[in-house]
Amino acid sequence: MTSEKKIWDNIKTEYIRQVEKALSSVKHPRRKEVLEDVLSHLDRRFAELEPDQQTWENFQTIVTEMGPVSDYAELLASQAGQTNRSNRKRYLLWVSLAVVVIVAAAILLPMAISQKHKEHKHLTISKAYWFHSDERPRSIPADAVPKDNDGHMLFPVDEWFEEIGSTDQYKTFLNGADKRFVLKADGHPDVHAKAERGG
Amino acid sequence: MNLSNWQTQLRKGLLDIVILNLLRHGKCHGYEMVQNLKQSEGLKIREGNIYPILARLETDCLVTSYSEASQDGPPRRYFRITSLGQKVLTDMNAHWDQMIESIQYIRKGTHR
Repeated sequence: MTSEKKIWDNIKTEYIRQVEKALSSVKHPRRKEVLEDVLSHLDRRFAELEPDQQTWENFQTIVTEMGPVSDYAELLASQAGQTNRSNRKRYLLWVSLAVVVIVAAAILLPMAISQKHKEHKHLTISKAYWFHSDERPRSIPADAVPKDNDGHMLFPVDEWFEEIGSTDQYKTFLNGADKRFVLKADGHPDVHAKAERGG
Repeated sequence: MNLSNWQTQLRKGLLDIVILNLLRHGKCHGYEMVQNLKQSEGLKIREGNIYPILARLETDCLVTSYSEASQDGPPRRYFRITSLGQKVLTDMNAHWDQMIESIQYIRKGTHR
């Protein structure tokens, strides 16, 4: 092997190595064929040089005329790359969505848990009226208590947790409270009463 | 604006249609295509550019390749246009003609 051939082989090997490296960024099934074709092309170019033309300058010209190694990846990827980009875009979208869900869960879950366990520590009775009075809320049906059944009174309370939204919010308080109490009024005898949870 | 960059990008963008048109006339190997293009004013490409394009066209089933023994060296890979490639090329050529016509109209200032 002549020293020129050795020099050429080194230049060619280095160029192929760089093309291979550039192509490694593209997941294309024909990368190997491209490398083989480029190698074959370089061999052909070398074979066309007369012995007196086999100089380092001419070898460099051949490699320069092949073009920058980045071209191979760019041209091969013009479709595969789009697919990769599109997959990457889809992947990023899913990751973003997952992050949003996780963050939202991290914020809302403790709130939901705390709301679920939110309970009244005290209730303020600010009013009292007979069950069949006009002040009874419409949500409580009139037939819940027979009209001729005296002794039922309604005691609306001021406290209300909007976020819980139902009278279930009073259950824990009522279960824990003594349901027996006494109604007192000046000049009247005491009346013993028992609490029940209504609508 | 860098005219040389624009020309390079334009050539790269046109390589698909150029290669398919070259293959329309018969089988050809990559080296031969490069030599043909070298003789065409304005179409001289970076020699290595042709191989990734051919690989892509083959993946898209627009061309097919096969190896054939060579008298002066290792076997050569020849490329041939497929029937799908012919159909796609017909559409590409029609589109190209339309583009050229539209650009001519614009250049003359006769476009609507």
